[in-house]
Amino acid sequence: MKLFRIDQEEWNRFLESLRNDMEVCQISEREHPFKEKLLPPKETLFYYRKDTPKQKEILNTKKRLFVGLSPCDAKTKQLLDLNFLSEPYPDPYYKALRDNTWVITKACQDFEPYCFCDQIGDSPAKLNGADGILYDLGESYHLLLDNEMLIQKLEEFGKSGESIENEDSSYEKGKIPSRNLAPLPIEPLKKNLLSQINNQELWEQIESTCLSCGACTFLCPACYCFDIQDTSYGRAGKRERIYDSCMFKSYTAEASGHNPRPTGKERWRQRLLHKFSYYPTLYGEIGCTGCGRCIKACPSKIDIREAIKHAAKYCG
Amino acid sequence: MNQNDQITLSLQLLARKAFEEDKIELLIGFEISPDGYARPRIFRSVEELDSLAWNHTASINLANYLHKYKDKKVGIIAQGCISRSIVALMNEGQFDRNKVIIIGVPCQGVIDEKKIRAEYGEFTILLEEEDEIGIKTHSGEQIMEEENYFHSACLSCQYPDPVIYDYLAEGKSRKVTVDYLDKIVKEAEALPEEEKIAKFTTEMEKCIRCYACRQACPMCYCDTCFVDVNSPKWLSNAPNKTDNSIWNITRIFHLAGRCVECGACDRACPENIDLMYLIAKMNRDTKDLFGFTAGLKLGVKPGLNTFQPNDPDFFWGKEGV
Amino acid sequence: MSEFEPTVVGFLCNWCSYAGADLAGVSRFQYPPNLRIIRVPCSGRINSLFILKALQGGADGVLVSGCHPGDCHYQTGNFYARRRLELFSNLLTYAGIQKERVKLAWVSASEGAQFAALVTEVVEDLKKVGINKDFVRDTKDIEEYTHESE
Repeated sequence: MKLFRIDQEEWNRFLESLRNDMEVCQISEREHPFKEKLLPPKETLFYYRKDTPKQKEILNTKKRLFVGLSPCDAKTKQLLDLNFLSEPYPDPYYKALRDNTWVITKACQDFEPYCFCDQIGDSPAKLNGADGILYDLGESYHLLLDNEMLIQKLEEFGKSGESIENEDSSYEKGKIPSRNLAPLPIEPLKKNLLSQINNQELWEQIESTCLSCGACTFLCPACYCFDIQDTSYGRAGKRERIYDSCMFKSYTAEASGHNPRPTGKERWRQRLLHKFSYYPTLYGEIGCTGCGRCIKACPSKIDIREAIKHAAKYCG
Repeated sequence: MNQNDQITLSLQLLARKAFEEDKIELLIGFEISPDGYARPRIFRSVEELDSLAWNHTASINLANYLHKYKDKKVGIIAQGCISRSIVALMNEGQFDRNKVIIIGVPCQGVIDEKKIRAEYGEFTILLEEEDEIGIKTHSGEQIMEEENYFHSACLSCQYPDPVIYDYLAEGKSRKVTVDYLDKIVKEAEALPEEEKIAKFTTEMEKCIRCYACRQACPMCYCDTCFVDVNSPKWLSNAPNKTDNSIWNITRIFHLAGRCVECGACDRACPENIDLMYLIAKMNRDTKDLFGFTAGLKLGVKPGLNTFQPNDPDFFWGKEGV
Repeated sequence: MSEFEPTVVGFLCNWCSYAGADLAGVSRFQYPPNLRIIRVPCSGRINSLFILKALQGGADGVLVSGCHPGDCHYQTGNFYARRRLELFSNLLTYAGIQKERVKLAWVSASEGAQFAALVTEVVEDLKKVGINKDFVRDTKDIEEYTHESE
């Protein structure tokens, strides 16, 4: 990786120069998760015709660079890769989007009331799998790039950088916010939450005011459940992938009428176990970036940080 | 002491009484979160009641939780709009009057977080005084005049006092003199057609079909919502412009004569869709055309479940030949 | 260039309006052929979703017609329909769907001439308002695929 010193005007010109090769998007708001760019809320998979087996698959070929995201959002790529690129059936639609997507994040300078990346072992100023990270030094930026293509482009643009070992090497990073908050007890959950699967009291207390609205899952960078819908018109039609949510009551509704997760209790259990027990067991990473969008979006103000602390009490 | 503290103490006393007299097994009420917001909480014992509180951020419609606890003796904290929801639900046969104990609260209004966030960015609640709210933002601390940051539903509220209750907390409600949503509806009605459809389409394209609005509404309790019915499949679940329009218009229309305009749906929407301007029109039409307002009196049939032979008639051919 | 011919979907109640339409035909009253009729038992059967789906499917206009109030075959069905459909059509107009697109009418079984006049009026109004662009489902991409793969 290479570290470059670049001022705002040069940075804007560099981004302009990249527009010849790819779409460059500046992300200035935090409301929408970056996952929408890799797993769109509505994605056409292919078109079909009713009288032939021929299909027209829609795979993305557009190159895109996203700039200005927060580091927690960049972690989306790492987390979704684990699920969608796993062998032996990598998801071709996700792959086509993700292979043509580059991300340069901007290190956060402040915490929002609901941020907690630093409490799950992450940091508001780490690469997290992004292709680069921008540190705001006031009058100029330090730009750390970890991607050959982007490094080459910036050097062609006229900047030269210094090679550095890794992002933890010492260099000026500007204001990195830090606070004295105790880390969340994730380890006990990873080890023992599954053993509490039948502990009705625990789940009832966490879930008591949940409305099963699903807003948390729609905005979560690590949630990826989807549904498939077909739309026909005349002789042809298309198949689309749309978001689904494990928090919806109908998510596990079976044709017989039975529903193994009939109340919010079972669904919250699933949510917490999936993020902090199943995902780490399968892939080694927790399914959470600490962005806090779920806390902000929840109409009942259920706080996943409190849920984690509460569950940890039962996990030894 | 300010009104909110007064109400809080009064609620704690009344709730304690209801538990001790064995009138309720659990209480649906509010507690204050670490960020200063009132958030819903189920209180299951007298010991937990120290956390029971009330303030100007108590924004969710608690009547929603009554559906979950139908088999228990339930107490609920209810200001005007919530109590009307409860009446509307009882008029639809959802609960018995004697199974629900209502602790009424005279309401002074509730803030709209989105309005504050739009102006100040992310914030936490600092303090609450008689007619001021203090918030802490990135740029420091602000004191705001409450009225500017109340939700549009609260700025139009005609029924701040609970319409039914078993106990009533001490306090004074805030009477609204100007119906804010009335003005919004008249402005929207006066728009030229192209602007009407443009406004509507802009809102509908924001929808991601998360159904938070439906879940937050106490009147949306159908076992299988029309959007989940597979046969016939009324609309696609994908977030297309026309399917989103069908979803929102139909959900709002299914609330005709049942909606109490509490604003819970508008507040729950993660995409900031302006639902109130549609809901307000429907409620005002229901009142103007049929003289019906939801949830005012027990034992009254919902507005669209009944008719008058001399209802206003705008149909073609109404005079006969 | 040929004139725009609107597509109108009509929900007619079986006992009055459908019979009225039939009488118009038998009596040879001329009216535009743009109407596609769906027979329902009563105007009270009309679900707001019928109207929305018709518009989404590409109808330029929707006609709903029932028995005159007081004459409903099922006594009270049209009274409920009157409340429901008036409120609903107001809401649609408020959202920006032109009021000419949703027509509510009472036509009795003996009113053949009136039915013909009604449909003529509906089609004329829709010709002025134009094709339904705002509320029809967007199937351009599927249509393009149908043609390109032929």
